[in-house]
Amino acid sequence: MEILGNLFYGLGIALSPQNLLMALFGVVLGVAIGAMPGLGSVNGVAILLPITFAVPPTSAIIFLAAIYYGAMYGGAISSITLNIPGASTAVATTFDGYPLARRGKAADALVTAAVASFIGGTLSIVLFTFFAPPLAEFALRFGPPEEFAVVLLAYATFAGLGGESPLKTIIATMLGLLMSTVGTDIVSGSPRLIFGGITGFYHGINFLVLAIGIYGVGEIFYTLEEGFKTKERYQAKLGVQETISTLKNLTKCAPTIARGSLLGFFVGMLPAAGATPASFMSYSIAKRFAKNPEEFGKGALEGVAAPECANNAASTGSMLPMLTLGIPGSPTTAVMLGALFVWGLVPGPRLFVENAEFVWGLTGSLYIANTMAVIVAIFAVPIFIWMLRMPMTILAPIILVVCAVGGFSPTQDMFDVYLMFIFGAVGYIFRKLDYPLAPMVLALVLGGLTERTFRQSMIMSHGDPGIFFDFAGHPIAAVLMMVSVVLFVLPIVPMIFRFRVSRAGTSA
Amino acid sequence: MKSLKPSKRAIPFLTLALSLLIVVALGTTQALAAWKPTRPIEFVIMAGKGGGADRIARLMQKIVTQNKWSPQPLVPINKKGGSGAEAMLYLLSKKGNPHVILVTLNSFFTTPALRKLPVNYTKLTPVYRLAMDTFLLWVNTKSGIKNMDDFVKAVKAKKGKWTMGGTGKMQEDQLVTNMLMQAYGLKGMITYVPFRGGGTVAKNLAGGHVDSTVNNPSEGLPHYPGKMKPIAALTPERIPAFKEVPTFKELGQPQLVYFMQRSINAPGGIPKDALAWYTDLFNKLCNSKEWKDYTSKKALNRACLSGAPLGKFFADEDVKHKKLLMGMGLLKN
Amino acid sequence: MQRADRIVAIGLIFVSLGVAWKATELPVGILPKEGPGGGFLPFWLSLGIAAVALMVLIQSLVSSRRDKSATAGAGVFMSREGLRDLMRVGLPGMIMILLIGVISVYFSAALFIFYCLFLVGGHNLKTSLGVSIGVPVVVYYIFEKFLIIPLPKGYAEFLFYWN
Repeated sequence: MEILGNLFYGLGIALSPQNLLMALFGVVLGVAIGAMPGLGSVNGVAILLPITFAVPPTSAIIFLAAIYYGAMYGGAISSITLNIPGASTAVATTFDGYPLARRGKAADALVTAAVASFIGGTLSIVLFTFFAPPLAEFALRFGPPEEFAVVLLAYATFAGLGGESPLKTIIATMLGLLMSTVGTDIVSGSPRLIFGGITGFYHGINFLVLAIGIYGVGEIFYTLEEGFKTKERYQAKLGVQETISTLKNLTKCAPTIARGSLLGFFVGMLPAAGATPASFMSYSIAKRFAKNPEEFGKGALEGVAAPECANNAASTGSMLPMLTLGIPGSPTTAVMLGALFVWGLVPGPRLFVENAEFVWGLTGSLYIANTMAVIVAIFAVPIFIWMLRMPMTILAPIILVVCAVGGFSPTQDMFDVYLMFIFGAVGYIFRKLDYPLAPMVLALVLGGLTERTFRQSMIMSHGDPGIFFDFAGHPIAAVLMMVSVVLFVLPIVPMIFRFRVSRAGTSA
Repeated sequence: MKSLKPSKRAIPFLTLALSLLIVVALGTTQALAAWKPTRPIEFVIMAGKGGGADRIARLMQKIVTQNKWSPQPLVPINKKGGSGAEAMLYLLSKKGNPHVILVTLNSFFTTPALRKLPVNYTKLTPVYRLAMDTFLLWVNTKSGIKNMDDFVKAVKAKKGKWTMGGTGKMQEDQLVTNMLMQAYGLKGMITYVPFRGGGTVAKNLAGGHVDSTVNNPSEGLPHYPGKMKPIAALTPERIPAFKEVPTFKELGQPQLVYFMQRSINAPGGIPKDALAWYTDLFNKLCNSKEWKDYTSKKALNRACLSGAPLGKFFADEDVKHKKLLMGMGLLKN
Repeated sequence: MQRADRIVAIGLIFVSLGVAWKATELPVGILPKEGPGGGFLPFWLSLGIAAVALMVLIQSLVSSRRDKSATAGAGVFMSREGLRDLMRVGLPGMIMILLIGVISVYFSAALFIFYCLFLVGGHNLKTSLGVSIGVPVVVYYIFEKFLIIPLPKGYAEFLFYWN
């Protein structure tokens, strides 16, 4: 039980007054930044990195990890209250969180999100503590074909996310994929679809620009048309009793949270995937397993719990390859990895030996930061409920301004703000015409990864698509491919069956 | 509140709008005395967050902040689009603005040439070169390859199916790969697989997904010596951190030398005083203990250079890169 | 509603055909030993979008012919009042966004919020001024002072740096 000893050693480090203060400070800032549209954990960590320059690396990483954690909680807040995802990881949270808020259950949704996040985070920290080295070894076995197989599996689980019209779902998905091809073609290095050298297209269409546009700005347009002056659009209630009944309801979500946490941890651990796909996958799996799938999208608590536990689990998961292999599992850990280099630390197996204080101090602090985050997040609930009670005539213009600022800050390019406004209009029209928006956002998130890993695999195999089904050379990829094929076919089988039955019925 | 008529309500609104307009219109130029930054300095990085250039920029930010060398903060801004094209075009648009600086990679030379951009190093103001990053040829330790002879044999044995991982296409790693193929008569025998960043490249070698890489030392270090083995260095002298690894020069291929320059540039036409201030700032940085520590630990060559010699260095590198690209048939005269 | 649906479908067809044409700047076929070229995905995706959008269009035409009194096409895309309400804030919102690059995000936001609260929302002068000045000030302190992210200031830049 050497690990337990190390863990207590780490907790001891994390509980020192300075580190506790850093963790608390980080969590509070993280929640605040995560709640701001446009600023997620990536920007939070990158922007606040300079603050850590004055403290020793262990305190600094504790601070950054706390921001990462806090931002995961914070992201849920604006998703639920305003329908504006605070970060890409919180997009899936809008699907059910916002409908809940509109039904006057914002507090329930917020509390569910916080508790689910806490459980997801804690489970994955436990996995992290006890299995870091063997898991790292496993992650190393994921090359381009395996990564492509994972992405395909992700698509397969999303199949249920579409809208009423299958044709429109297909269009929305393809539009998202098409948007992901704008910018630079990673394989040939050439600019692609930049429409005669519009510099704003060089960096591609930022996922957050689309998400803030169609959800945030589009939502405002929707509200405006419905009647701007309706005094209180959201009914928000908050009481001790409601909170307690929410907590009781949460037991129903337990299986969802357990599945989502495990899934989140593993997807987060895989390089390149990260918390965003994890949250979507968890959502659609929860829907598949649910007894009441028709309630998803209309305000199911499971629909809030699923993405939230997964994104927190994934954020811990993605720290594993960062520390053990020096590969970031998510954009945020890429920045944290940069910080490690700035402090003069080399990630890898040797880090665990040579900088035990750093590694175990961080591990210990994850337990503490996670606990702090759930408390901070729950205490923040009344503030956001108060905000929701403001009349729409005050809230709407402020939200629009915040969206503009949020669209600008990730890339610092005004072009993205204009684009965001256009997406707002497009999102509004699409929503009225029953084009589903979620598949579009999702396709944009995963599009780049899908194309890149597919083409890398094809180059590796010299143009032979057999690489994806090569049980000898790439067993993991082959198995995952088979699973996703089954998942794709599964929903079609009953349709064919039903079709036959009904035809048999009519002919008889 | 319906009692007030819209026309009446509009009066305070218009007053506010007008007064703002006047305030804005009054603004003209500002005199510059002995130059010092008066607003936050945009520190443009021509690569994404978390990459090599980004790390270096954030380290510089740290050193400058800690030593309080600048009265205004350095604000890192990632403009990764188009292999650096976005960043360079941005600097072109900021002509004469002394509050913007750029930290470069070698795509500083290759991208303008390949993409026929209206900007290249001559349109910018060279400020300072801080380091030259080095390259090594790596293989997976499981391959059993011990030296360059083994390597050549192994590549030939795979009959054109040998893979080399690298970052992006037509950038540093592919140029180096091409130099290798030419030197050892391996043309057409190595397939180049482009990845997104150096860390991912190293991971794919460590996991056995590609056969070799030309990673920078700092990217290979996490997997060294367990999973990755360096075969030879593309430097004139042995790298101190990898004393046992021979250079290609020792192996009889003196032309196999390649560096990645890490330098600072400002937009064209900035005031002389501003250039002097930046030169002084980065001179302090380059000679600081922190920078010396970092470069030795990460096996970079600390290489401080400014003024006219830097201009000449850029011109030489530009010619060298154009030749390399022409050699690959990617660029015509 | 039906008309809007068809207009959007036609728009999608035209836009995606345009994008498909642009995508041919890179190889759209399958390259030997390398798999799909750089233009492959965008080219075939946009053709696919055009094809499916055409199907949506046809579906809409056929369904309306089948039963004239159908409820399928019923409902208005946007009522006159709805459009007016939307334009009263949407257009100024667009102007606010365009002005960000000219008079800074702070002044532009102040004007827009004041307009919405005072002229559209009918709040009193005190509330309107308070919110329209308060929000930009808070944004300024969070972004410029604490997070050190310079936001666009346009020609008003000199106002923010006196020294």
